[in-house]
Amino acid sequence: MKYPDNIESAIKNFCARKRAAVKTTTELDRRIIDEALLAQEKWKKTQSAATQPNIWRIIMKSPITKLATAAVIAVLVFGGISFWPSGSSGNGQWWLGPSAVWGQEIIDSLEKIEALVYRQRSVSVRDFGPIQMSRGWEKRYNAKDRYRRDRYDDGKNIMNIQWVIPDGTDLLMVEVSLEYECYFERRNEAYGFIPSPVEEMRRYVGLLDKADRILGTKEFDGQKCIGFEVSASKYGDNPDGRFDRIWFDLKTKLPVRIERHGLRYSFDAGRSLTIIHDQFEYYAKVPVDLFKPQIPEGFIKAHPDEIRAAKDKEKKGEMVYAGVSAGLKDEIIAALKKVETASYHDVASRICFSKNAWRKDYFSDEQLQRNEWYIFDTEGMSETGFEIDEKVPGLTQINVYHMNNTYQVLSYTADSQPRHPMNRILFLAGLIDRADRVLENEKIEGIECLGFEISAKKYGDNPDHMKHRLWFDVKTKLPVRMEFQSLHDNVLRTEIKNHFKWNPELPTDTFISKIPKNFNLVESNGK
Amino acid sequence: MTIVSFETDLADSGMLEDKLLVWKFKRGSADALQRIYEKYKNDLLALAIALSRDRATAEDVLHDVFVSFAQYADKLQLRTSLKSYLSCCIANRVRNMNRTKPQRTMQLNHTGTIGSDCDGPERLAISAEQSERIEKAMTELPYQQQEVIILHLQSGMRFKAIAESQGVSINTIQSRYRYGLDKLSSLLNSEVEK
Repeated sequence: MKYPDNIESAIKNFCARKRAAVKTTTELDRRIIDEALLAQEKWKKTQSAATQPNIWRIIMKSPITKLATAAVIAVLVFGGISFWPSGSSGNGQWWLGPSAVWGQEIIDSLEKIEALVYRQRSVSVRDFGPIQMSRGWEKRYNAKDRYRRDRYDDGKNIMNIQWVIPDGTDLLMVEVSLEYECYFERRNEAYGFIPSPVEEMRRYVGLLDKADRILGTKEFDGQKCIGFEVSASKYGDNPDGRFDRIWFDLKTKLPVRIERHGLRYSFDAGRSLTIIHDQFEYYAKVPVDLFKPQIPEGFIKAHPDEIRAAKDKEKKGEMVYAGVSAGLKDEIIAALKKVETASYHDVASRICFSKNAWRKDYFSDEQLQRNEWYIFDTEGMSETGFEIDEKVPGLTQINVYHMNNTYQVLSYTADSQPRHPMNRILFLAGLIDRADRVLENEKIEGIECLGFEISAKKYGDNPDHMKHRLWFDVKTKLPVRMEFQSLHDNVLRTEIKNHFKWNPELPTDTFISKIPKNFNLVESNGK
Repeated sequence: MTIVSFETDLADSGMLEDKLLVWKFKRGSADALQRIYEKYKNDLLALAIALSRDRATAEDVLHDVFVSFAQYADKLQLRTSLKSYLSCCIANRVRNMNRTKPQRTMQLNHTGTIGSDCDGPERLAISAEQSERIEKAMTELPYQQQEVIILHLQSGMRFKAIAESQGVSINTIQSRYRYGLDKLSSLLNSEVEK
């Protein structure tokens, strides 16, 4: 008899049978329970003995301490773990004192929380150009054994609701998509179950001894806070550039804001994501009805992704994939991310850019028609490009029309800004692992290139007939030519970007707008 | 307007979910401690037997783990499920015992009869024979490999949780698991082909 090929399954069966055969005896149960209960009683007595009035007076400095239970005192009495650099707590700066004390206070306070309501938002951090707060956000209602999440994708209306509630010995997840008029259920704790925010907070407090730096004090929603920054590699297998920040209210010592920085977008290579949890409502009174799944009449039972995929298929047809490796895409993205400056030709203009500005010069018959400067107002932005102020820098566009001696100044807020050209390039390069086909290697502008054709239907709501063709230098992995083909009134149009120069030394005044003296200002509206 | 009373809701519905049990236990609930013991005692004893290969040792391990669990309720910080946490405690305790005591020899007689009531006599005999062979093959493995196989396949622990509990990388744990299975496969097949 050959032993079963699936050794894993055989061992699993063996273990299951063994496990089923093992039972504790009554005698053993009695012995263990008696001694465990005795140990528990001793522990309780120790806890209660520790609550002596003089110790209370020593540590009862803030109202939140009143919530802290005997565990705090146990830490004081028995020494505990001093995991914070020495410092004074006598000047009101409690965070400089031993975090074994105040960290435990926070943890104890968190343990008393029955329900927690908070907001989740995300911030796009672009390699080129400003950060951008997402329009959509979520409101989350977390209790010890259930939660509800309302997603406001358009910033105003609930588009998707998810509930996770106990159901017998299991957990039931119900999600309703108001956008696709459907709902679905899963009976699996792992599916869609967001980690308990209180547990997350506890984890962060436990990590404070490993904090990379204290961020200083800052005000959020009228609450003065002290912040800590911890590299995400300190608690998991996270890549470089991932870090978290947690901000505590100076008065209550409770977390006010948690930021997770440097999360990569799987889709848009030019962006990273920061997730922010804030507007915490501790000890929230949550109406019980809020946790009862409600499925609107007429909604069909299906996952929103299925409906979306079916709609896409109906509109766009089948998708074809050439199987380009993600590794090659990563090489290309890595090369692009090293770019500081560039210049290239577009359909009717010559474009050049740096990190914080770009410029377009339009020509007709080699005669300059128009200059456009786009300049980010980066004043006040930190070197890291992201101190969460929710103050997104604006963009100013200056157009100079040489044909009629006029100029125009346009100001944009974060919501309406034109995209930095490099963001577009990065976005397209990030699509190559979705390419429909790989083009044969060819020489373009004297450079050996590898090329890809990507249907624009692979993203957004684009129709079948739009195509991108991208060619990259085999050696440097940087773009050499980019084409966009579309159909207009049955006429095939191709827009070309070419003559790329990567990291050229641009004249120092490239991004300083020049308005000739006699030119008149026209239609300078803010946007 | 009704306000949710989570504790009452759960108690009324008869569902003592682990998180609530832990919450009560950390506040000194004797009921919660007993319930946790009742819920996991057999699985944990089976795990201790599988790791120590001795019922008497396994009973001591279970005893020590629960007494210690009760003693340090305030220090309990769950990052995995309660069952995984307790399984880790069992594994750690057995490992510590292995360090301080000489290796025991396998005592098959103490591990209990293998086979369920619905198995017929012939199948039961085959199962018993297979089980004996697997058990014997398991003893040939280095302890670290046995441990990860048992924790994963018997206790259902994820590799990540095992790695975290032992302070090693998940790759190390997965390698131990794979090497262990390969060796088991080789041992069992070479034995039947003789």
